[in-house]
Parts: sequence; C-alpha cells; structure tokens
Amino acid sequence: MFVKRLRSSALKTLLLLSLLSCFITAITATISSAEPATGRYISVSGDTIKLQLTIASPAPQNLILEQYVPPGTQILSTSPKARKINSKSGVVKWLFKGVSPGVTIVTMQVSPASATQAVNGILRYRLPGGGMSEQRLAR
Amino acid sequence: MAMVKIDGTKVKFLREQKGLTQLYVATVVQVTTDTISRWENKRYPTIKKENALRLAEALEVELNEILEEFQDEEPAQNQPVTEPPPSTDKTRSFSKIWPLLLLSATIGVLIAAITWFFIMHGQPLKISAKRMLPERCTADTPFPVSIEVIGPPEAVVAIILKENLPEHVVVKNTDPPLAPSGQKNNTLKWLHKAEGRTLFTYIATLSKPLNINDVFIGSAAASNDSENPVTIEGNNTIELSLHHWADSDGDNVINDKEILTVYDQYGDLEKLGIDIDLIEEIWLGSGYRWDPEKKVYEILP
Repeated sequence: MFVKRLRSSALKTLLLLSLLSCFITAITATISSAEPATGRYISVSGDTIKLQLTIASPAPQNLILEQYVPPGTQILSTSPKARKINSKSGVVKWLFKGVSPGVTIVTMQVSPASATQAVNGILRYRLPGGGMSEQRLAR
Repeated sequence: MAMVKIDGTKVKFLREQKGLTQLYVATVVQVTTDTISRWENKRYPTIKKENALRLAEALEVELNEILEEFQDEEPAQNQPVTEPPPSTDKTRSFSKIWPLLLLSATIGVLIAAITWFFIMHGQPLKISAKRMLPERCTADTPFPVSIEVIGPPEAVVAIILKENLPEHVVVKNTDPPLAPSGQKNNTLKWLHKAEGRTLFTYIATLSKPLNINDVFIGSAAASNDSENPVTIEGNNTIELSLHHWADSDGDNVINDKEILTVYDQYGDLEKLGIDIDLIEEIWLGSGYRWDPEKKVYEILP
C-alpha cells in the first residue's frame, strides 16, 4: 500500500514537474522569439500613412526607419520629423536615438495620395553581438 | 513461537458478561485496548499463545473456551501470522515521518543556498573589459576610444582601469573625467564605481603612424581583487588614413550600420567634442572625401 502510495505521489510529482518545465520552456521561447523592435502599418487613409513601432525590452539603443514611396512622390509632412527626405529617389529616413521600450506612432503625408498604396519600409538596428537586424514593416 | 486462533465473538461475550472493560483486559494481557478491540472484531484472530493464555486468565476462563472450535495449537512456521505485520508498522512509521523528512530536506536546501550565497559574495567579483577602437583615423583629427567594463549585475564595485597609450597619441578628453593624478606620461588611470556595464571613453588624436609593437594596452580590476587585473580585450591598434574614423569599412560612405555603431558603441560623443553633426551629414549624403589642404571632410551631395 505504501509502495502504491509512493508510486502515485512520485507520478504526480513527475507530472507536475513536466508541466512546470513545459510552461517555463514555452515562456522562455516566447520571450526569446520576441523581436527587440517591430513595425507595422496601422492605417492608410487618403494621403496619410500611419505606422506603429513597437519597442520591446531590452530595447535597441538606436534605430533607423526607412520608408520607400514611388520616386517623385512629394512628402508633405512627417511626424516625428524625418532626418532625410529624398523625393527624387522616394526615400524617407528617420534616426531614433536613445530608444525606450514602448510604442511610437509615425505618420507621413504624401502627394499624390495614390502613392500611399505603394509604400513599404524597413527597420534597422544593431544586435547586442554587433550584427544588424533588418526587418520589413508588416501590413 | 506458538500461535492460536481465538474466537473474537466469544472473547467479547465473556468480557461483557463479566462486566470487564477493554482497558482492564488490555492491562492484564499487556497489550493496547486497540488490540483487544481488533481481537474481538476478528480482525486478527490468530494471536500468540502466551497472549491467549493471559487473555483467558483476564476473562477467568480456560484457554479452550476462547479458542475457535476445532482449533488446534499450531506452530508459527505453519501458520500465517495475521497480527499487524512488522512491515505494516514500518509503513505507518514511514507515512508518519515523511513530512519530517521533507521538512529536513527543505531546511537542508535552504542552508545550502544561504551558504552558497555567502561563499559567492565573499569571492572576488569577476569583471571583463573590451576596447572599442576605430581601425583607422585621419592624422590629428579626434577619434573616440571606449572601454566597456562588464561587472556583476546589481553589485556596485570600484573599478581600477589603466590604459597605456602608444607614442604620438594625445588624449583630449575623457568620460568619466580623470582625477588630477589620473594621467601620467602616456598612461590613463581611472578609479570609478560601476554597476553592470560601464563605458570609459576618451577622445584622442594621432599625429604619426604607430610602430608595429606600439599598441594600446590596458587592464581592469575590481578594487577587492586589484592583484588580479584582467587584460582589456579588443582592438589595440589604429592606422592613419584619409578615412573618417566612423567609416569602418573605408568606402568613403557612412552607412546605416556605421552610424548606428557610432551611437550604440561610443555613447554620448557630442559632449566629449566629437562632431556628431558632421558624421550624420556624411551619413545623409552620398559620401565624403578628405581635403588635405583645408584639413576637413567634404561631404558629397
């Protein structure tokens, strides 16, 4: 009877430990799979493009956002202010310095409005080891 | 040991008939009242003969009167012993003491953890140091050198950092600032409290090419282990060229990776006198070139 009880307790303990290790593995995998920074377009309305940057913790120290519109597109306004606007090539660049975890909204007003449909972008930052991460903005 | 099989019902009947309590009978037989109860309820009808004799004596009857009918005395080796077996007692004992064992184990683990904590904290704190030095620079133009010291997290430790500079290297500024006696000849020395990652940066210029054996050499030590300094790893030499120090691949362009490296690796260089705006302008432009006559970088549109 004691042996039976012991076996039953051991099995229960083993089962609990297995569940706990699965839980810890899942949490670790979720955390490690989370990118330090991601970006996605949240709305394209009229001539305005709005995107959201999500910075995780630990955050990259600095990052570069680059958006591409059809060459010749006029950039009417940007918020925050873009560091470089090249209408001829259709490249708009932001340099975010001293980044903190959280969410940042970036908007850009273009002319003609039809250019909003062709916009795409890239987010770049250095990885802790010294390599570069380059991600396309999701839609 | 001889065993006999008693009739529990008869035992109970006789005891009650004579108005005897289980306690009295138990005292005479020298067992517990539980045992008497079990015998009466036929849970363990086979008992030791000497106990059966005492039981008969307590009940004031002959032994035969409390034995089961047609019951002969049997030697123990031929009869299964049905009194609570020793193993069952052990089982009960185990089930009683296992919480105690668990408690002892927990206390043991706690003691081990506390001992480990104190042993670890009594040991010298491990640190590492890495120098980040550009591969090239232009003569007499300022360039940064950062030394990243990694100490134990969540522990403030005093760091002693020494850096011996090659000949022709002149230091313009440092962060953290050096004490008045912190620079002697071509040696920089900091004593600074640090926690986790700490950056020691200095701005220097180089007027002539370095000799092959004339390199940057340094060491870092925790104040509680100053006799065992660690060598500063990383790049230890720099060459003179017409490229900007931030242009690490020497292609006359400062690309995204290079501008991010400037900001990520060297900290706040603006306050130390590095022209960050120039670097950003080069990054935003299509390239640059060094004008040796004017001694400035020209940005290509």
